[in-house]
Amino acid sequence: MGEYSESVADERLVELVREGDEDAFTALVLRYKRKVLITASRFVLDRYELDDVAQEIFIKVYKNIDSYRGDAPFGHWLMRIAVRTCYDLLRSRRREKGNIPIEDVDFALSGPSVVDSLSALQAKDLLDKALAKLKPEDRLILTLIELEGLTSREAAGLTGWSEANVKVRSFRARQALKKLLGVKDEGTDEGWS
Amino acid sequence: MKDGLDVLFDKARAVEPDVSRTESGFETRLLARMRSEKESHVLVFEWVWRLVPIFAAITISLGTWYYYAPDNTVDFGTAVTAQMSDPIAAIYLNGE
Repeated sequence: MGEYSESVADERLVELVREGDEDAFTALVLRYKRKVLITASRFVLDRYELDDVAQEIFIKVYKNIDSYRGDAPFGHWLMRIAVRTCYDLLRSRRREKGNIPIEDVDFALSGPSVVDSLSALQAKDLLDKALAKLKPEDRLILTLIELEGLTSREAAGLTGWSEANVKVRSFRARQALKKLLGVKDEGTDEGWS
Repeated sequence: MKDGLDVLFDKARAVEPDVSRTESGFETRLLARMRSEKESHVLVFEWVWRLVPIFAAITISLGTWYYYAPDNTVDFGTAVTAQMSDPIAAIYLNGE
């Protein structure tokens, strides 16, 4: 483990993995595990599930390494697999549990002062709960754009959706989240913006 | 101008997910899982491969037995049909 230094390019490591070099794969895992774990942690329930999902992502990478053509950076290719795996996870979870009625969600955002008074941790907790009630595609796109800070183009690259589609989905997802949280659109008299 | 949702996202973004516990020893667990999956796959394949001669022997034995059997109606389906043909014919001829 750790046989390869940082100076060895990802593409070279991929070639070595194809030749059956396990240390090269370990080097790739060491390089990308944090990034994969941070992205996956936005979608999973606990650290055991996170471990499981992240392992699944790297196993998919290993099994599909021959299909990596090298026309995009390896990290980007890997993150596409990570995002798709997380999306599949959200969809399967939705199928298992069905739709949770919005009434069950206990949110208390009655005005802007409430948001201002929330600590960062409380805000994250509230968002996690609210995002969990959204449709998988809405949650995915909001997580990528609003939490991971990606542009629409980058999100399109990772999801495989068109940029226009990403923008539309993102807008609709924001509307759905606002409705869920009781946040009113700007320019309306009721509620707060 | 930022709306309430943007403020909420800004605050949530400031909290970096803590993955340190999962990160620790992750590659070891991953490689162990990959090895165990590989081994179980190899094991199934190995068993299938080991059973091939047994299936081949059974097939050859059955073929030989069919070929050298004294009665031509050794096939179970044919034997049943042949044995049933008389009672069926009797029923038909008696108009029952």
